Amino acid sequence: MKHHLEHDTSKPVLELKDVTVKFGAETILDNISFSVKKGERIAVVGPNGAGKSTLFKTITGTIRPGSGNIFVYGDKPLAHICIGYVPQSSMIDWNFPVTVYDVVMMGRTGRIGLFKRPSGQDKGVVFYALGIVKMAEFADRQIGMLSGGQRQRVFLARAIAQDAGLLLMDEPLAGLDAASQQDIYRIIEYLSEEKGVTILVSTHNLNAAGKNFPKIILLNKKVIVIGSGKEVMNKKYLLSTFGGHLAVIGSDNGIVAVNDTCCSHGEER
Amino acid sequence: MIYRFIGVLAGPLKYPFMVRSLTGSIIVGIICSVVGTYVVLKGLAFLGDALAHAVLPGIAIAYFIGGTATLPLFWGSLIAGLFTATGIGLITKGGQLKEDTAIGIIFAGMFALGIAIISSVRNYSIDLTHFLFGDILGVSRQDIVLAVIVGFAVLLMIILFYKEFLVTVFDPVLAKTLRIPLRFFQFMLLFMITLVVVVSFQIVGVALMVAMLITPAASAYLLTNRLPSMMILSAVFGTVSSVTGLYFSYYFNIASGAAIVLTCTVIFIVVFIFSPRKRVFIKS
Repeated sequence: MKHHLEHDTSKPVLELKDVTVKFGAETILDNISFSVKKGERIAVVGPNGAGKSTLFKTITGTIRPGSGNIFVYGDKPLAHICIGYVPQSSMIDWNFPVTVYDVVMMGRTGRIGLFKRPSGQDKGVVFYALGIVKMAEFADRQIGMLSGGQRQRVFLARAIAQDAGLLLMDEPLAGLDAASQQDIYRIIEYLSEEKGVTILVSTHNLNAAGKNFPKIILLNKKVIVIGSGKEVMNKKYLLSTFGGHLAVIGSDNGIVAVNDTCCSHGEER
Repeated sequence: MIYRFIGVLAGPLKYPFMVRSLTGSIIVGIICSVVGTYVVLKGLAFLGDALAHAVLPGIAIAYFIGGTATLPLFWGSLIAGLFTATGIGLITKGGQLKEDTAIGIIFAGMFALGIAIISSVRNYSIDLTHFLFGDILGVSRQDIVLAVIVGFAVLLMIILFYKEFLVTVFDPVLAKTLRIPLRFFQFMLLFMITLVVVVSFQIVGVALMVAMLITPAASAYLLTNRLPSMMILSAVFGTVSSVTGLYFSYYFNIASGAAIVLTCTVIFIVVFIFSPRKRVFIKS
């Protein structure tokens, strides 16, 4: 394991150029291009099957694009160990015998190095991260014994302990009540504004994204539009993103989008 | 009463072969159950079963070359096991067939090949039973030495790479983003399972090997919250099962593998019924 590469601050944190991903004959992502600056907070919005998870996995380097290029701090995705990835809740085995502390410490694995045990400093970082998400008192609890919101906060803490400069969260709000969603939004806001962390969050809830994120990417295999909540709330964009999945009600003072196919526990690629 | 009990315990120990079997089965009980925690957590039970059966042709060929000599049997079964693991990997690589299909094909094919080789030679039934269900009489001093060396190496690997294995098994995507060589550790996991199978089949037999890998670990899984405690408890269950099973095998003339596995099963049933905090066996 090589040392952490220095970040080239003159370059965008994340840049995608004509990225196409196919599974067999099926195109999952079609010619995706966009770039993200340091500290930006972006919601990637699209229906199930739009390729949100695939997009994130491609950025982490887990999936290799068929064509196109991805640059993280100007380098290839796997050159950095500072991409924090919070998987969809359904991808985690919540019965796994690990405690909250164990999961957050996993974020330190790359930095601790082979054959070494976590140092006092690593433990300090873990509790610092748990403090930010207000989960320190649950450190010894098995992860399955937590509520949905607490589970998301643990994985956020893991990304903090990992020193993630770029944070990707896959459907972190699915299945959470309003209060727990607010907790997550507050932590995300803190990380981007105070710590300069660049954050991408995927969700199929357009209304919530519009309220809580300065920038939105509408995705359905292609990038439909990138802009502020107001800019993307346009009947044409919404129809081409959600198609039949969404009832769009137009009115004089704007557009109300009604999501009719909620699928908070659905698994996605 | 107590003297009688001690007499029962000490009875088999006056035979050197029983001392060897006991030592062997304790080692097997420990390493199977510790490696088995990964098998249970990663849902690799079918693969473990397949690897155990698929070593049979390797054993058969080695047996006809060198008889029950330890090293040929070790290498023969190790090569067959690695061949199987590689074969499964190659078939699934293109993504056309699912992994369990690939496992089924290779495992049945290898097992059939093993039976074919053994049956083509005399004494078919006796030898096959020996391989399938374990044979306490068959454990030699060399077998013990080999099991100790392999067991030590496997446990050392698990301790040295504890962090890396944990991340690899729990969250492969994190492993990748942290630039932990995911494929290497996934291969090492298969390699360790194969090694454990290869040194254990004398005692448990290939047919019941999978139970040694998963049953003690599953019992421990129901009772623990962290991986290290799951491993230790699993090793305790494995050891207790091995020793108890072996005594039953001695006194009631049951195949050693069957006796050991039945003890594991009884422990599991008790744990399952009385587990204070029943975990649901589904992946949520």
